[in-house]
Amino acid sequence: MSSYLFVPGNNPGMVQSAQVFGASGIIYDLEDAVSIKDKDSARDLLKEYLKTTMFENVYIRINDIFELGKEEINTFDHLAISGYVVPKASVNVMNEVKKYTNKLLIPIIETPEAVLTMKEIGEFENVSGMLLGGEDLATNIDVVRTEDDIELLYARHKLVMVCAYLGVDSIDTPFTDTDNDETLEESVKYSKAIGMSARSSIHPNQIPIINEIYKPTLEEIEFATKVIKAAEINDSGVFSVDGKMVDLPVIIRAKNILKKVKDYAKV
Amino acid sequence: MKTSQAGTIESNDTLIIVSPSDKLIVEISSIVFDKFGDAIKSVILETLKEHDVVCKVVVQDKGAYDYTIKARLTTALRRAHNE
Repeated sequence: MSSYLFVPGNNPGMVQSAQVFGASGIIYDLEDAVSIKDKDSARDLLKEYLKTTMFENVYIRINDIFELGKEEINTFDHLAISGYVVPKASVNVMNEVKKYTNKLLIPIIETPEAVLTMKEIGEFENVSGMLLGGEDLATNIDVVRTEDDIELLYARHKLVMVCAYLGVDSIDTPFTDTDNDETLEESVKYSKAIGMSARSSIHPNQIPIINEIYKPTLEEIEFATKVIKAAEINDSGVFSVDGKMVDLPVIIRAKNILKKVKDYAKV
Repeated sequence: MKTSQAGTIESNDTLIIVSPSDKLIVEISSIVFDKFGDAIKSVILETLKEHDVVCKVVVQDKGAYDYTIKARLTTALRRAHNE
């Protein structure tokens, strides 16, 4: 999973075309992208749409679990969705969500409390990944979002470490300037470089850029293939490929790259 | 029941207005009426039957699929009874 696309839940044109943009996951949004007066309308629309379709990796961002969220889970839990994206995640919120569903969960880390209790939030059963909510987090620590996201430095790196430790996806915050592809590219390259396993997006035009950057390069695939072949015929723990030392961590990375190639082939 | 509406007149959507009536009235205007007018009416009638409601329904369709028409009518009916 390298790209998640947020799709406004009350827009039929966007809802029904979301699958064509190549995102590895779709997040139908009932929260920030839907006005208060249309929450009921969006819920009805998504319910009827999801009855007619069956796609992999479809999530719904619910509203606050203590307000509309519970009713939303009850509406969608019997449908063929992967799970829910949980806003304003905290241990308390996750405990409440778990009362109503056994589907996969992606908590959004968007408060100082969530940053500090990230590991406890991620340890809940069925958490498949955690998503950094950069806009809300910046607001909650009373800073302005910058192009280089320096204000998110600690939360971003901590998310990578905690998710790697727990074996779940680390999903970076959306890049909200939809007219700035150049900076988007730099930002996504940074996400990949620090170990984020995916990037989320609020605009379909950003998905090909994210996928292209996250896709293993031809050089990486060729080297990984050589490593795996050499590992099969080498009994010793350490050997050499193209003049580079190969040991267990390199073999594991090679396997991960070839697994990503298979995942991309599915998309 | 009070007059209520749901949906929009944006592309792929449909605006549905329901209002009290002793008899069933369905008025449809659609950019695809010639080809899909009967199908739209059929979805409206089926949905009204599911909700066991007799009322007036005015549909301004902008090329919505069946699921959208059903969803917008369902929302309009709930609003008509709840608000």
